Amino acid sequence: MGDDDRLVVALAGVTRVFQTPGGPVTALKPVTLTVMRGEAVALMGPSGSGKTTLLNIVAGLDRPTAGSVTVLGTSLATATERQLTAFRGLRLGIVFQEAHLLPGLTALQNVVIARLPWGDRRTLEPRARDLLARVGLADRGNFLPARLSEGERQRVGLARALLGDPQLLLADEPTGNLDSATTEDLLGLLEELRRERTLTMVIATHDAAVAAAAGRQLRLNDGGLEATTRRGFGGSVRMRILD
Amino acid sequence: MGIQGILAGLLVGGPAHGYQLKATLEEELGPVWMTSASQVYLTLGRMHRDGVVSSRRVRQERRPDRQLLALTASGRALALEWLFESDDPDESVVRLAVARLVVPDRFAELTDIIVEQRSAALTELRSLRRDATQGFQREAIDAEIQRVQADLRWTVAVREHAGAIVQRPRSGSRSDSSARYG
Ligand SMILES: Nc1ncnc2c1ncn2[C@@H]1O[C@H](COP(=O)(O)OP(=O)(O)OP(=O)(O)O)[C@@H](O)[C@H]1O
Ligand SMILES: [Mg+2]
Repeated sequence: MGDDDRLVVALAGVTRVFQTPGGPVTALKPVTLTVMRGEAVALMGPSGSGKTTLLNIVAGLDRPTAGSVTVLGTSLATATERQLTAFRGLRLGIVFQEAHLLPGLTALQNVVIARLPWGDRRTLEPRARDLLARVGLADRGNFLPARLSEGERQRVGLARALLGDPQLLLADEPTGNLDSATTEDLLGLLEELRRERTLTMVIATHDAAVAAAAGRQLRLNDGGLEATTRRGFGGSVRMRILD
Repeated sequence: MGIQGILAGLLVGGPAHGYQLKATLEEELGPVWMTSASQVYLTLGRMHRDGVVSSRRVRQERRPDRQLLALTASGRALALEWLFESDDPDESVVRLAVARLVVPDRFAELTDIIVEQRSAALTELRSLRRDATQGFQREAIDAEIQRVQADLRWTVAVREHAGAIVQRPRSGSRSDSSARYG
């Protein structure tokens, strides 16, 4: 282990080609990428550029057509479906572009249910309540998804992803339906978690203002990863002087 | 740096008369950006005094002589510094407008720099926001955050069209030396 401990995501030459009736669609050109522990990486790029495809591969929800994928020391290419399920359940937090909540369960139950195979309800529920409060939904725990707004469902999805205290958080447009102040609250929460627990995250977003919250920004274009150079330009905050 | 940076920046494109600089600004930036002629001439006078520009007298028939202004070496350095290293959020629009004309091949690079500057400012504001819990502090910071976000998103949109923006011909009258503008 040693140094490898710090390497959370390592993709080498990852491609993904979808076979469709209209012919093959290349969603990812060879992508090589590493993410270190405690890093927050924003994955940017226009619609259709491959952000979700890349996140799915890192999450072990999809397999690459070629290339190797190592996440938290586990090689996903050779893992069985069962191993992948346990891996996701125990070590990853995943926030999907759409929350995919179970319609018959309350917000609180939705947060808890995915963890039940690995924990017991009595210890999970108080933590789930706490997380719902931290995403600004303290009073929505007993609501069914149909009575929640899209942005609220998305935040339930985030609380669910955080419940297992994951080492890696993968989030697909987590602020897509949120107003500006709520977005800031959520970004603040993620930054707190990154610091407190050295949480590593990869966040797909097309919003530069969200991406700015990450320490590193990557840009996908037509399935290819573009190098981003940071030259360390400062940016001054406009100070308002009362006189 | 304001108007001085803008005028120096325009002169990176080559020597010009004062009235041409003013006309270029009006034509390129349109109705929401205003410059007063007296401000332009006053500033050019100061720049001349400070060795930022040199001037050459150009004879005209039946009209007073005109000054053709050119950047000195230090003026050029000042102009490039204003374009690529200054960081006044209120000047992003003019910096890009000037860069489009005088250094079109570096226009996209400048959008990247401004994106980076605004992103860094956003990071700074977000860290201030974490500790702002009293009174109206959070709302006051949110107001700044939203302004910076708007700047940032605007710049990203400009960057996405950088190629086309640079191709767009410059407006009117740089080479037009008829004496309509005094
Ligand atoms: N299951 C699939 N079958 C065929 N093509 C697919 C499939 N999934 C994705 N694609 C194609 O792969 C490309 C990348 O899609 P992807 O969903 O990764 O984009 P994205 O960057 O997440 O876009 P958005 O910002 O709209 O969410 C697209 O051209 C898409 O049509
Ligand atoms: Mg997507």
